[in-house]
Amino acid sequence: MGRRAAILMLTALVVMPAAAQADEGLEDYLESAMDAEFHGSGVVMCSWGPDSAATTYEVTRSDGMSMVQGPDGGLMLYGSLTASASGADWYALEVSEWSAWSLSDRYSLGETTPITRLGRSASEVTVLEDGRARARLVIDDESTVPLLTEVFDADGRVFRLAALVEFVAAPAVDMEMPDFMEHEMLMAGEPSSQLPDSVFGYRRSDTYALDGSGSQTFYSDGLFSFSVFEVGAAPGEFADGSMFEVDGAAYTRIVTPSNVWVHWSSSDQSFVLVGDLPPDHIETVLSELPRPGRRGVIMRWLSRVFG
Amino acid sequence: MTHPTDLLSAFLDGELESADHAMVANHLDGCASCAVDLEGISRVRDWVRGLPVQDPPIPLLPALRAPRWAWAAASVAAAALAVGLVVTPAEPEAFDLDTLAGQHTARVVVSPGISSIRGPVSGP
Repeated sequence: MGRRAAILMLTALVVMPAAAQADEGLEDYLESAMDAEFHGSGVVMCSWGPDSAATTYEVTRSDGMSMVQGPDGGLMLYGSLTASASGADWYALEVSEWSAWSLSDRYSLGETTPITRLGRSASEVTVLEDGRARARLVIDDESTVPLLTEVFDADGRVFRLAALVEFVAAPAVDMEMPDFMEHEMLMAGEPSSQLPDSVFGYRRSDTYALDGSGSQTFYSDGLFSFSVFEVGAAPGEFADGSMFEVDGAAYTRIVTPSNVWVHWSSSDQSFVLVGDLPPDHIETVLSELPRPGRRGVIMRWLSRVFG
Repeated sequence: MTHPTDLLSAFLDGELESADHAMVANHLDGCASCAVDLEGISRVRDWVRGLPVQDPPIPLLPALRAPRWAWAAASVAAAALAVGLVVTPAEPEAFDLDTLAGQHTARVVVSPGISSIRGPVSGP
């Protein structure tokens, strides 16, 4: 979508009654904002109960390519290819195939208010979930880039905030992909029999085989998304995670600036969920996925017999 | 009526939380079918535990003579093997958060969404 079309679309969002074509407007916006070209630096933070994390990041998007730099390293994105830096070396991971995107009809656009942010003409937009505020976006009118995003939990508190503190629309920069040390493909795998096709409005989009053993199942409702990894053992980082309960079952979580991680084990299978969805969504999703389980009868007998 | 069949073994081992333990105990009071199942589980378990401890059948070289507990363990293991109960799980594959974060981010960025429009943040 060209800049003129984007401006027209955003203008339509501002002046049209919210109830008229709200879902379509949000859908159009999310699709067009992916391609908006800009350079910015900002802060992203996430808070769930006593756990919180924050970091700074710098992002440049131009000619279909993005570069994101944070304290933990850099990312280069081009189409379906993601390259991450480890020291001076770059490693590329490419998604082989993925399902078409669609936005859940539970989301709609609420009130839109013209404001000024970072000295620029912008629009404050509320994203509603079943009529309740789920997110607040401050969108740069010229570029359609979100200068601020706030995601709310079920109580209306800010769960995640991402704010640009420096912004340049349509920067004149030349970027090129680095030489990769390795280039791996994320290959489609068989859907897991343990995971449902949909859970709390999130649709199972794709399943990928993990290198070695295990799988990644990707769910999305169009606004938020998460992956469920079925792995043999919990990543060691969860040893320092926080325990929490859902319907009496115990889980471990780690909060990072852009994602929440949850680990649990069911029988002899470990699950790791990672995503940007808010806590109330996570809790409902967890209650509909395989639950933390007791050991099976045979494993219990073997344990009793052999110690 | 829902029978707590999958909880009976844990009930017998005393590994249930108090609420589940009370629920199973109450159920057993009024369910003859589950009571029979519980008795069966208990009987089979007693049988496995009651396997005889074997002495070495013949005097072997003194250097190869194993302690009695080792022979007992070997006997039980052989019995378990015979009924196909022994499962030798492979060493589970260990992943770190960075690897999983890379996998997740790679998929997130190809579709619209709240993370992809603001730019994904590197790291877990």
